[in-house]
Order: sequence, then C-alpha cells, then structure tokens
Amino acid sequence: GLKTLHLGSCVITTNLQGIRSGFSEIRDSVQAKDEIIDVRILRKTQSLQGTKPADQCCLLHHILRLYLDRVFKNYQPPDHHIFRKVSRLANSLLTIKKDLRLCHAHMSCPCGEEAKEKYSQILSHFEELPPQAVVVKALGELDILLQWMEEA
Amino acid sequence: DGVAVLPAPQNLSVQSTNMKHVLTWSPVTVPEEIVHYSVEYQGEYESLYTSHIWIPSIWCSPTQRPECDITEDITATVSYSLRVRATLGSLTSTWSTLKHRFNQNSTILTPPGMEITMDGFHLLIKLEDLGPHFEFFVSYWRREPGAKEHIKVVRPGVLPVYLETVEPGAAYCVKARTFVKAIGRHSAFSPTECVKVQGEALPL
Amino acid sequence: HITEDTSDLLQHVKFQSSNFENILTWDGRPESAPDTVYSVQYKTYGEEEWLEKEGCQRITQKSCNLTMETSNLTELYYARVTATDGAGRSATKMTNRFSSLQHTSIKPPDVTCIPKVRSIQMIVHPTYTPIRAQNGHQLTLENIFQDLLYHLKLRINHTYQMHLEGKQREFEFVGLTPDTEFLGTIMICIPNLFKESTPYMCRVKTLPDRTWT
Repeated sequence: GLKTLHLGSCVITTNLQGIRSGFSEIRDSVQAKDEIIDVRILRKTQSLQGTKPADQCCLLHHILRLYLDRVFKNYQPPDHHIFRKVSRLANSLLTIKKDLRLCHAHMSCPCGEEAKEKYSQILSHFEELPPQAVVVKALGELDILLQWMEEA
Repeated sequence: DGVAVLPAPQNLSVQSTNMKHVLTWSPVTVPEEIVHYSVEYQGEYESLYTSHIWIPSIWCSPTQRPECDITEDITATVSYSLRVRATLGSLTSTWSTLKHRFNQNSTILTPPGMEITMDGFHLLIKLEDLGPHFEFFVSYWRREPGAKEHIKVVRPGVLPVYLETVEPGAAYCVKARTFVKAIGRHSAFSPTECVKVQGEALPL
Repeated sequence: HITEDTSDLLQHVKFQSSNFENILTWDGRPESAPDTVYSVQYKTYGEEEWLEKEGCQRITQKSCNLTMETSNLTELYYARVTATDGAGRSATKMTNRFSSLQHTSIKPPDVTCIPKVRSIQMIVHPTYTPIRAQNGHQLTLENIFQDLLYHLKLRINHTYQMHLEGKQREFEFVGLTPDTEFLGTIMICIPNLFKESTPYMCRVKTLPDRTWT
C-alpha cells in the first residue's frame, strides 16, 4: 500500500512503490550514462537513517529541493520515453516536497546542525562535478534516495 | 513554423472514470481534408520549474480523432495542463489549452461490478478487473440480527474467488467497493446482493 | 595506428542474481578459441579501486561467483571482465551498476502441503540467503525484506479459487470436499520492490471421510 514516512515529528504518506516502479524503468539507461563511477553523491555517511529523527525531515526537504531545482530542471533526456518517465518522477517527488513544506509550516521540520552539515556535504559532492555529468549522476542515484526513504 | 490559419480546436474537456482519462475537443473541419491533432501536457513540476517545456502525449502526437486517451500521460497525482493544436499539411493552428488543470484525484470511481455465486457450501465472488490501480474491499455477512460483517481484500482475476463456507438454510449478503492507492480514495459500495443457501437449517 | 576491434571477444557481461546468489556471467565469441582466458575485477560504486576476484583470474569458463564480494545490501557494485585470446588480443567490458536488493530475483518458496479430510495445510519454510548479519547469522528473505508476504491460491476444479495471504508461515485452506484433488500455488511477494517469485506448486488430494464407515 502507501508508505508512511516517519521523519521525526513529520509524518507523510507517499506512493513510494509507484515512484520506484517508475525509476526502475529508466535506471539502467540513466546509470549507463554516468561514467564517473569513482564518485558517489549520496553517501552512506549522509543517509537519512543515519541522521537523528528530528533532522530527517529538513535533510530530505533540502535534498528534494536540490533534485527539483538543479537535477530534473537541467537533465536532457535522450528521447520522449525517458522524458515522460523523468516527468513522472519529478512530479511525484514534487508532491512529497509539498507535503514536507506543510510539515515545515507546522513547525515539524526543524533544521538542526546535523541536517545542515550533512546537506552541505552532499552539496559539495554535487558541486565537485561538471554540470551535465552531475545531473546524470544524481538522477542515476535516485534509487539510493528512494532506499533511504524506504528505510525512514 | 506553419502559418496559423487553421482554427484552433475548441471546447477542450477531460472525462475521467476509474482512472481512465480521455481528453476531447470539438473537431476542426476542412472540407475533403483530414485534419490531424497534436496533444501535449505539462505536470505541475514543468509548469513551476520549466514552463517552456511541454511533453508530447504518448498516443496522440499526432492523431486524427478529436479525442485522446491521456491515461498513460497522467502518471502522478498532481495537476496537469493540457493543450491541443490542429495541423493540415504545413498549416498549423495555435494551441488551445484546457481551461482548468486536470488532476487524477478527481476521477469518478464507480462501484465495481460483481457476480455472487455458490459452489456447494462455498460463497464465491467474481469482480470486474479495472486495472492495476485498483484494490477491492469486499464486505459480507450472514443475514441475521447482530451478524458480524467480514471484510476481505480480493484480487480480481479470471476465476471467481472463495469468500466463505456457508451453512445450509442461511442467507448471506455481499457488497464491494474499490480503493485506488495512487489517489487514496474509495468508490461507493456496490448494491448489496444476498443469496439463500439450499438445504435445511442445521438444528441449534 | 589502427586499433583492432576486439569487441567480439566479449559480450553480455552482467550479473545474474537470485536469492542474493550473485553470479557474473558473460559470452565470448561463438567459436572462441579454447585458449581465450578471462579475468574478473569488481569495485564498489563511489570508490576508486578495482579489486581482482581471486579464483577468477585467467579462467576459461564464462561465469564467476561474486556473491561474497557483493553481499553488502546498502552498497552498489560494478564488475568487469577482461578477455585475452591466444594471439594476445584483449577486450574489457563492464556490467551495469548492480544492487542486489533491486536486482535479485526470488526463487519459489519451499513448502510442505499436508492434506487432511476437509482442509489442506501449507507450511512455508524459511528461505536462507548467503547474506550474513553482523553477528554471523545467515539472513532469511524475511529478515531482509520487511514487507515480504506469502500469497497462496488453491484452485478448485477449474471453476474458482481460494486465496490466502500473510506474513505468517502456516496457512490452512478449510471447508474442502473430502477425497478431492486440488492445485495449490504459493508465491513470495515483496510489494515495495514489486518482486514476486515464480510459484511453488503442489497438487494434493484431501483424505477420504471415513467417519461413517
């Protein structure tokens, strides 16, 4: 059924299974374009489940914003098929971000030092790489982000 | 870019039932000519972040009929903008955009069709298969005062599905409704159907 | 300087995984000379170093078991094969990014079907995987997939089905006709990853009812 994400005092439900299904359809072709396999943006040291619950919502909120503002926006799909699948992912993650923004409005999405520190580490990994390459890599790492959310 | 002398399609609207979404419009008619149409869409993400980008519909870019099954284009529970234009050879109309954005959570959910049968003392149900979005919640009870109502999640399939072992002489009633996980909504219940079991009621 | 095309030496380098048994397989040239040898390396995604797989260096067969090397469920991996033929020509090819959690297929469960007079009991046995917990215990599929459940169907003379579903391991179809044959199918389902095993099937006959004889 629907997945309930417990992110500290922010609790949201999402159709994570549908999102994973959508990503699995393009995973191999997107990941195959990522040639920098010595580098990983979403590393275990910054994972959601390794973060204290109170900071999980803020960390996820910032990661989703990074994806919506700088990954999906700049990704150039090779064909319409991939284009539609990526659109589905972007719109699905947008609904999650909107739910997190509601938590933020209800003061249940605080940004503590741990969230800020981990997000800045992710951002630095992200900004170390050339623009077009990092977009492809980040999109290919959506399965990591979805697994983090699965375990939240 | 073709000169837009062709009139743009009018009266765009979406009919959506049980997660099947169809966009329709008034046909553009040119005597003895076949007019084609192209449909494009934008999810909420595209509207907010990449508003210049429209995505061609999977089945209707182009199409000859003044309607388009957009079910496979609407893949997230956000509001979608839709537009259509007509083309005739090199002539192209301007785009017509759906007045109100469409969200699949507004789909009409109808009570499921069901068929109640018996096999010996087994109460069986066969449900209409409405596609992968749908789960079926079936309620059934013995028709007697204070009877307990049982609820079962049933997967539709080719064959009827067993619900309960019933007792001779008793009557049992059944109703069902659908649930769509993607939009978190139920349909109304189907009309209740009751069946009387053959044979003498067992002595108490 | 003309570089020779050696891509024909090596094709379809990929992981074949089921129940977390991760086997790297590849194809050589259809009529590849018997003296073509293959060497395997693997690495964790995000790390720099390629590691040589001991036991799969300069081998002639076209598969290599990388189960132990790719057993961390939170990691993603790559493997690559280098083929070298007798004339010294060589080619190297790499797999797609591999995650055993996402890619492993699920084998049918092991089930004991026990017929009785008016019911059939089905006992599903745990499925152990090569994955070990930190304390060394072998993990079962149930340990790994929190949302794992079993889906059972009993077909009654081609006219209807009984369904049972749940996380427990013991199930019983009741209210059956004695001395009658039934076809049972049992599958493992992992909804979150939309994985479903191929079914285990058992054909059983309920016992005759001897109460009045």
